Amino acid sequence: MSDILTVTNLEKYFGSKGNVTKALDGISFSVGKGEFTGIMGPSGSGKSTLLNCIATIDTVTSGQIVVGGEHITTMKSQQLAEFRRDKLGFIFQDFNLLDTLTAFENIALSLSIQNRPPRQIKTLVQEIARQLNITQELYRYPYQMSGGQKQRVAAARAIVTDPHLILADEPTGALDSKSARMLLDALTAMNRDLEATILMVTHDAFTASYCHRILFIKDGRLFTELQRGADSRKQFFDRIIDVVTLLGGDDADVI
Amino acid sequence: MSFRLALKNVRRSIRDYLVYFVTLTLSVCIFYMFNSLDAQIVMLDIAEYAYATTILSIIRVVSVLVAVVLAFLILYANGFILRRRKREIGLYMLLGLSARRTAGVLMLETLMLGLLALGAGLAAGYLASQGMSVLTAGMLGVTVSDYHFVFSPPAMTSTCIYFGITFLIVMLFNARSVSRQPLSELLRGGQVNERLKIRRRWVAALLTGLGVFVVAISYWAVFYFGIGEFAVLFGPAILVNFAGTLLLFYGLSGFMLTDRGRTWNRQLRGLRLFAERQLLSRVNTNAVSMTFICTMVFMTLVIVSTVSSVNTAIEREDGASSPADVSLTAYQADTQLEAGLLREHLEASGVPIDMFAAWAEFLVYETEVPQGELADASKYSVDRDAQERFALEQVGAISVSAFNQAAQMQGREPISLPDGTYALDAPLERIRAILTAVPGGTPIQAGGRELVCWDGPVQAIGLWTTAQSTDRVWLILPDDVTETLPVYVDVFSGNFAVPLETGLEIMQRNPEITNSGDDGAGEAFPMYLMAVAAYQKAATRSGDAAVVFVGLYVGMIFLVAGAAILALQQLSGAADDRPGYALLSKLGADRRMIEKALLWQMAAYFFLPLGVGAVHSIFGIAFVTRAAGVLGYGDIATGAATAALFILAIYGAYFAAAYAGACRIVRARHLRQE
Repeated sequence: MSDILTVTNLEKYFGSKGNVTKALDGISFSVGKGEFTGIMGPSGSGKSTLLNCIATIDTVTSGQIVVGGEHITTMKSQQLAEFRRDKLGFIFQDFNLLDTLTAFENIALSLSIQNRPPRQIKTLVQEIARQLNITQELYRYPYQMSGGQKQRVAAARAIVTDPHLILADEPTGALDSKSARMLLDALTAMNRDLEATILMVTHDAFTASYCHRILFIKDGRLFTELQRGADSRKQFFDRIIDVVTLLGGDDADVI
Repeated sequence: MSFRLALKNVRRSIRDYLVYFVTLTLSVCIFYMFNSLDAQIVMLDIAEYAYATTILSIIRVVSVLVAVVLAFLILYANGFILRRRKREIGLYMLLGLSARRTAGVLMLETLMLGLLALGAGLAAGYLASQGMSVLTAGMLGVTVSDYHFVFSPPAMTSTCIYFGITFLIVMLFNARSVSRQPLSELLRGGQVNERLKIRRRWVAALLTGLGVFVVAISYWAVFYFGIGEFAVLFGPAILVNFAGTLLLFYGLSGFMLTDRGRTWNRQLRGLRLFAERQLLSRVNTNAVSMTFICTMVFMTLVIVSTVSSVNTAIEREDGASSPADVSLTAYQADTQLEAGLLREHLEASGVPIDMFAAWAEFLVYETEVPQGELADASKYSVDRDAQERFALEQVGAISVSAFNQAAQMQGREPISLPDGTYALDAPLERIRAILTAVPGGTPIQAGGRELVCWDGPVQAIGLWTTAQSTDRVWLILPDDVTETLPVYVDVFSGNFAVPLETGLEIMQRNPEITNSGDDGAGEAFPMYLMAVAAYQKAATRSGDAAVVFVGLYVGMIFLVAGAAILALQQLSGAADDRPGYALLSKLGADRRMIEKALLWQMAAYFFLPLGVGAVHSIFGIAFVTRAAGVLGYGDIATGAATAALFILAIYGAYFAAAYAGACRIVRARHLRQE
């Protein structure tokens, strides 16, 4: 399986002169095609910063990021915009959708930015809605939908452009457990049936247990890694809890 | 400490809310400019002085209205900005600053900003008013005796007072709004949960249709009713128009935000969908203020077009009422006036005839020909009463030799009238335009004879200098016919060979040169009147100038207010949209796409009220043209063009500023969501 994402020696510093914060301190890892990978860590561990760097939203101080064979770190802003448009998909914790557009239009937006023909857009959106079971919500506005429905629409938007990599930043953060479960089921379906490669950042063990593989970050460095292997989700969940306990200690931010 | 905080905030405000500050300064500037006319007219020669003060008093009155409009503008803009800063204010209070001290900081800010704007505005106004002096002089048709920079303390005082009061109100408003809102509200200030007003498609269609219908009614009313009735209906008509436009805006924007959720193919290109939605949502929310702006644009267009055209028309028609330097007229009730009466009167008053380089004396006669036989009264005016008076008025006549005297004095060609014909003279173009006499036809009865219209052209000469209106037609009759007609007035016209002041001085040495024709002893005296061309011109010009100045004054203020509001709404909108644009950026929309979407959205928003206002103004101008009757179509065209340029310049400038500001706001340097 080829690697969709390769991160080499990533470093990210904030601040200047006497006041420098090392958010990322030499991180390296890869994600293969079709993997569902999670990044876990306490608050301030740098996991969101890591995701932002991979998402080209933030610039790195040093290191390399290669996505689908392309070196992100050397791209200019115009190239980056194109890259984000065609090769990446996003699901954020909040403010995913535009209030003045329906679900259909929100999903269609990512396709219209690519300047695809309108007929193709309509077909693609209908198709993905069917696959993710959100056809009912297609013509509603965000304020008419529950949190879970909104996130599933966001997931649909993320995948409809067939990106190399889908980045999810705490997607279940604002959801109740039932909605969270529905979203995670949808993500699993995307990964299994549509071969989407997903990199998800979370601090919640339950959410993380849906992944195949988890990278643990602490203080800007990779702490350890867990592979699900043949474990059931419950077993994997228990293993995750063990690591989190280890990770914790005096600065725990567990659930 | 509060002072330092206030100072820093003001510096930041000027940068962030440049549009607001510039508008403040501009308002002060315009206000001062027009109110400083008193200083400007001091430079003019004394003959014009009296008339110019009329303009001044009119402007003073209008200034009150203007001050009110500006006060509203400033309050609105200020409220806007305050809403933007809710979180910041909440932060102060969270940090422990009491409500009173926070209010104090805000009041200090307003005070400082106000003083700055006042200072800058007065400085700009001072410079601008120098240019205005030249304009004023040009308008009144006078040469400036001695040009120097002028400053008007009274204008400065009234500017300071009016704006001072406004800023005081703003300060109080700010203070009150701070103390009234709970802290949680303030801190949540940034998050505006805009519940989209979803409308059913048929409701939107109904509203739009209703709007168009109501507006059409207001147009129809304009043309159906005459000016007499219209004066009463004016207010209601504007209101109806306003209501119709409001419905139109509501309806149109509601159309797109329907709940059927159908997306058209053409919208699925680039960021068009987003831009359109934001635009429509904003039009919907701000429908009322947009209608106000639309109305203001409409009124400005009508006012500025018509005053510009009035100006050119009046300058052209100057010669109609002031063909000679000075004219004397003698009226008498019973005694038959005789030719030469005025010459004797002048000699008796000690006025040497050789003081005149050229002169003419002639009699004007009455006929029984109603004016309606020679001209189309229905085109004379919109007002039915005026039409009737015009039609029934009996046309005056002069002999052809008298006409030729008057013509030659003005350096024009004399005419030669064939037997049995008459000619017509109409000094004003708009009267010439409605004459119906057919060459070789249109017979009239005069002096017991029947005459037909001659083959030659209608003459266009003012017969003598008069204060009375010249919107009539005169008959030019053969000498033998006029001899049999009753005399109406004896006229003496002269062009001075000496300087005007000298000539007038000599003429007025005898106070009896003019009198009202009654010495109290019951004896019937001839009534002598004198009209001086220079005074006439000044009077017309000053009337004209008054109209133009007031028109420009009100027009500029309305425009600036309207454009400023649009700009501020758009800037605020851009700030509201910032998360949306950040999201789009993350989804891969590059900067050019975003700026293009922004440009489209803002241009549509700005020019929508402009467009609708322009359509309204077409009808408005048409009406004013017919009502005033002074203007020909050529004048209107230039007037409208001037107004259009004027509007585009001011709107264009504000649009450019708003667009630049919005681009800056939206261009997220850090795409990370806060």
